[in-house]
Amino acid sequence: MINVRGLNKHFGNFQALKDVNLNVEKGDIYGFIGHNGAGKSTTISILTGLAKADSGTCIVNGKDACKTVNPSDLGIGYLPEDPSFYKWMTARETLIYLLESSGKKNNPVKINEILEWVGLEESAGRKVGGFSRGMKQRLGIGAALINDPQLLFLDEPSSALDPEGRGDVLRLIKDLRDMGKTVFFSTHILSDVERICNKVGILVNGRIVKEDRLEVIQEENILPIYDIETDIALKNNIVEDIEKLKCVKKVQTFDKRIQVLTESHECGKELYRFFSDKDLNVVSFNLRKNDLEDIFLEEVNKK
Amino acid sequence: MSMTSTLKKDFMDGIRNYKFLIIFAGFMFFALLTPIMNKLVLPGLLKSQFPGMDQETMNSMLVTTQIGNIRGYLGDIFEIGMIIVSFTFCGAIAMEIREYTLILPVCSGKRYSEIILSKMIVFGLSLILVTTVSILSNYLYSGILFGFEIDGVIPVLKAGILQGLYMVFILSVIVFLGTLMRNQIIVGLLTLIFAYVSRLLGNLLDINGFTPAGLLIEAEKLENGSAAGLYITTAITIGLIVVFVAASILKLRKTDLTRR
Ligand SMILES: Nc1ncnc2c1ncn2[C@@H]1O[C@H](COP(=O)(O)OP(=O)(O)O)[C@@H](O)[C@H]1O
Ligand SMILES: [Mg+2]
Repeated sequence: MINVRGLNKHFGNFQALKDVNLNVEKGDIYGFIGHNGAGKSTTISILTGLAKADSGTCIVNGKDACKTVNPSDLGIGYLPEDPSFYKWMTARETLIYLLESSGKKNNPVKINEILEWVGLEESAGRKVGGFSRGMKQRLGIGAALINDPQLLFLDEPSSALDPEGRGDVLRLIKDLRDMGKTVFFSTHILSDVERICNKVGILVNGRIVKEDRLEVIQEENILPIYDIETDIALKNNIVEDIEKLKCVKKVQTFDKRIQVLTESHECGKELYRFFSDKDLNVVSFNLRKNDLEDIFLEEVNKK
Repeated sequence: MSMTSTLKKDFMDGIRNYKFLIIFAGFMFFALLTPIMNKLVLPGLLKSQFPGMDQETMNSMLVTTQIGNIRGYLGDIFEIGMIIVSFTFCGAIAMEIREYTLILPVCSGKRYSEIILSKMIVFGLSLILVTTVSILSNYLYSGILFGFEIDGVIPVLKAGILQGLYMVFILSVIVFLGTLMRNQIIVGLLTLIFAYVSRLLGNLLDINGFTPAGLLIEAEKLENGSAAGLYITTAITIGLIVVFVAASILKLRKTDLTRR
């Protein structure tokens, strides 16, 4: 659905995007991760046809968004970072106006469906100027769906919201996934990505440093470190025996808990056998996993 | 469907943000104030200041005719009405770009030409309507106070429409400046400076007949029929409006609406 090759963008002398490559397939919920100023919004405004790239090809829904296109020809839905509506219009009028902007007739049934879906049916007759940030965000998500696009771009849909508002937005994105839509959304909240995405791209200073399926990234980043807790503190000679195991590199002890750095997570079997042979009571036995946060920080620090 | 919805939206904007009300009230204020000042306030003022003044001297200092009143009103509008128009509509495009309200409609399929044309149609027609209704009110009120002296209502209607057309030209300047800069206060100020300076230059170089301000001079004549010069002035004004509208559409098409 989206295939970006060699996308570059300058603002004066400042290069905001450097040779960006992206690939999003139908049905993906793509998490576009990057810290503030990494270039997420810049990328999205190019892919939605609203801003011009310096160079590159950006196939979006079969059309090249890096070339001059009319945003509405791409058949996409777009939620800007800070969606703006006419403050003096009501939520319902806003959706009708956007539906009619595409040349279609007002469709009250559809408008009601969207209002209900985003939980604004009660506030449909209120002026948008009085809406909270979360309500505006939900209206924006409804607005992005007004022309039934298969592909949606959501720019930081949950970032500026309180936990409750974030939960609402994540629920809506899950609904979109269940409807079979493809969603490209940017964020710097990594736990959101872990909750709903199946693919991730990490953008650092305008450059894609990693792009893969979420489970692949997580798999790659399983550290060969075991945290093992026993019911009584281990004696020194036992710790020494563990250190002597072939696959073990280093052991650190913390009272009843030890931390074992191994060559690979294949070592788990051997450790397990060791503990059962010695008849030691193991309370917990964990392979440590890096979460996305660690992976992200690691990628950022490499630069 | 899309154009109808744009027109409806701009009309709603005019109503809900009191744009129509402000220009109507502003123009009507001067339309009704001028005759009152000339009939009641100023003579009383003169009498109290110069008790011994004879009637003839006093009349020479006062406006005592309907035509004088209408001309006075037209002059007031150029000076103060222009300020009202500039600052009522200065956000027409500037604010839409500054507040990013065009992004979603454009993504939905709204054409840039529709956005510009709709503003020109809705606000332009409201300006012509307001100038016409106001000058008619001024004509009636000053007629009641000073006696009617104009041959029929046609010259008055003509003056109102010419003044309205001049305001539509000003609107096209506002719209065009709005595509160049986002600060609507600066748009309003530049529009005023443009209007005053171009009229001044027109006077100095004696070329008002070839500038939109010529419409105002023609309106003040309050004459029936139309001189050949009026056609030229009108054609030039309409031509300039078309140029500004086209330039606005082209500029808006090239504008990055998402720029922070
Ligand atoms: N119109 C602009 N002019 C100059 N610099 C810009 C402009 N827009 C964005 N930038 C710069 O480009 C970089 C990327 O911005 P942006 O895409 O908004 O980042 P993100 O959305 O990831 O926070 C930032 O350093 C920002 O300052
Ligand atoms: Mg951003």
